[in-house]
Amino acid sequence: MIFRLAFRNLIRRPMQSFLAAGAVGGSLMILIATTNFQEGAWVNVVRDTVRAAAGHVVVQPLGYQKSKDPELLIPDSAALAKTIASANPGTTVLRRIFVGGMIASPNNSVAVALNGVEPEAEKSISQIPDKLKEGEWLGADSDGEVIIGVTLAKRLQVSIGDKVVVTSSRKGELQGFPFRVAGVFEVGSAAMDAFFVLATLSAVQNLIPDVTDPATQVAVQVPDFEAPASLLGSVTQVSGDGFEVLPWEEALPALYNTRKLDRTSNAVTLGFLAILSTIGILNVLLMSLFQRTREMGMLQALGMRPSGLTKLLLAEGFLLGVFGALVGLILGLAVSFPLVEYGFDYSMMQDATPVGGVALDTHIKGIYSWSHTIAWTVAHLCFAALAALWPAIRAGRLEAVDSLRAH
Amino acid sequence: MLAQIAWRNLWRNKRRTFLTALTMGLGVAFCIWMASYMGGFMKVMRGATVDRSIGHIQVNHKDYPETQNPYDVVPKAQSLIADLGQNAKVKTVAPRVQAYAMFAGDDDKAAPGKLMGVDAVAEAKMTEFDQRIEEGAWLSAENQAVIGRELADKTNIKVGGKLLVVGTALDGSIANQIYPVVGIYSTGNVAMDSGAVLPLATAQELLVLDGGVHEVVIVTRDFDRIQDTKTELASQWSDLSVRSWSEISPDLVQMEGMISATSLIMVGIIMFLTGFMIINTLLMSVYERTREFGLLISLGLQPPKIVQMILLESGLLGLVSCVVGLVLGWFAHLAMVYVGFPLEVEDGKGFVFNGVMLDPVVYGSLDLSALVLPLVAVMLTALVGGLWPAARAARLDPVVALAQE
Repeated sequence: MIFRLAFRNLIRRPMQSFLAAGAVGGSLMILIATTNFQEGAWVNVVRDTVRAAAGHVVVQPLGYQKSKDPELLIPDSAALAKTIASANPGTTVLRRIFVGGMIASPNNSVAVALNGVEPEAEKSISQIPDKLKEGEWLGADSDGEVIIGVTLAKRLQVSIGDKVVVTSSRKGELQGFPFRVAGVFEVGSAAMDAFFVLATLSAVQNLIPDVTDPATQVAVQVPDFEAPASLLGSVTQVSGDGFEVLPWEEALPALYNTRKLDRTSNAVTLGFLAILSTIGILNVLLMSLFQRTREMGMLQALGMRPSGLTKLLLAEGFLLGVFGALVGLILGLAVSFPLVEYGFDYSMMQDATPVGGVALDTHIKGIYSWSHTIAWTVAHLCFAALAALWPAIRAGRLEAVDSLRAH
Repeated sequence: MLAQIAWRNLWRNKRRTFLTALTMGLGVAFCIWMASYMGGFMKVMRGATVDRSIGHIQVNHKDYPETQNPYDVVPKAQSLIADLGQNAKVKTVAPRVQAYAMFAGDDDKAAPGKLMGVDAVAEAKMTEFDQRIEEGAWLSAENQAVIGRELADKTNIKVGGKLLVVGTALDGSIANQIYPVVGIYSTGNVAMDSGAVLPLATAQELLVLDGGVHEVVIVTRDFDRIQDTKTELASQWSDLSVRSWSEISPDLVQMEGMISATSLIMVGIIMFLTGFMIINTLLMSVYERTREFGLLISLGLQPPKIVQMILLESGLLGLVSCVVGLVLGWFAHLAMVYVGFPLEVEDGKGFVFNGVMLDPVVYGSLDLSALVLPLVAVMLTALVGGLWPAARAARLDPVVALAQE
């Protein structure tokens, strides 16, 4: 009954109702589309970066995350990787070794990050094999070869087949090892193209003769975007003591924190928009209350209780909210659709941005983030109800006699 | 006269006008807050890259930017520096030597990094490098070194300790020297903080550079006119590479572009939403006054005058919104300046963003030109939003309007 009355009151003033619901719907549409796009962008970034630079869960030597000390190593890494893989079927387990060093040609010498990887396993995960400009990816017999970035190749003035010398230090001793350039990649990130060098795990292990089968990181990856919560515990359990076992959020703090910062500032911005539309509803409801003061008095004179008036106004606010939210939800999903299906290519505007050591794709596709979509919709309904509260309470306090005198 | 009527009309319904002005004002205030936040963020980024590292303009051997070949020293650097010192647009100028080297201390821990040789006096004047010393002192004599915080942590070298530098000298020999460490610096620029800095002559001697330098860094007097100054210098030294900071660090320019695009979108969205409100407010006030408009028209007020009056009302509403927005925005900006915005990281430290170590709190910095966009947008929204209600009022038939209750 109250709802029917409220509904009629709303359609009696279609323009006003439309504008108020439009404010709610417009804000919800923007929030849903923006969030879906943003979350989609992050899914790509996180997936690529987690794959290339870590894993869903990584096992490292105790204290490595904080010190990044290349002398900290996991000995007998193949055995550990095997144990982890057999305890977690369906996962990909990779070993990597990170060494800092100098790479030198007859023309120049540059400080680089040398990464030893398992060529076959890495190929299924990393983006670099797909971004080779020249030459070939590493193979099983590539122990004397390195893959370098295009900027580094220019600085060293070397091309495929040329010799370079990698110098690294072990226990205070400097040692140089000759390598041949097998491939040149370009990922579009200035830092990676200039300072990232890849070689086979076994080649880099040769630089460290005093540890058997060393690795800096054993990375565990799952095919899905998100790893099951049990993975961390399971890997921790089978790895035993002497290691730190970290989820990617802790292994890649730069990525995690950048995402967090981005999400925080988005939430602040979007929340603010929601507040603006709430004030819009409040304004409409207040106005319609004052315009109808006489009518309210009449209703009271006919026997409606003050609490009935409160309920009526609340119902109007709620209906406005529901209608606006419905429109916003439909429009929001409609705008999200092309963003999800076709994505948005900003390569015209800028180069790939590196985050946490991985260059991001410039073609971003959104995803349907249902949790955010539902949260925003519910939030808008609540805001609309909240906006109705003040006018509703005022309506309940009206005196029938005074109201009837108003015009 | 018309403006006076419009102003009085506006305040006939105080609550409605106030709520509308508050909403639009909040929109403006939010844009100001965002500009302050983004401005503060960019200031940190620019401080760490431009002010403390790149400088405004760099002059190199023409091949050096691409190859960073250590043999490509700036030809006749001495006369170039002397000449630039005379240039009225140049505030400070300083030569630098750069190379990569392995660094180690007594602890058997070695790390590769960037080695810079700088003119201690000129560099301190230009980039205030001496202010970045966290422990110990800035370079004051030949044959000593200051090292970055990251390098110090990696190699366990302390102030008063020794730094072993191993690199490649230009004559093909291994450059290998030990220097006492007099200070540890922290610039926020991760690449620099992982390296070490030597006095210019010491670095030249180590690398057998024979007095050569790799870059001549310039800070100009007018930051906004860097491009002009760069073009002028480039034509004067056409056989050298002359680059401005925006060419050296295009990512920073891209980031600024992204930020201004974001604020533009934000302003658009806010105006779109508040546009609903202003149309609503004005429409309602026109509906309420239907009878009144009928009376005015029958008394001989021309429809264009009515349009004018309502547009004046909406324009005045826009102005009030601007004032409300400026006041609220100013408070928001002050909060950003004194309290700041936390960049949440658990351990009380900032995190690394695009090669820059951020502080745990970013403080506001507002460029007054950032105020123009939201204020203009509010006025435009108000006027455009007023068009429809104004047209409605002007088209009223006085007979029908007067008959209305």
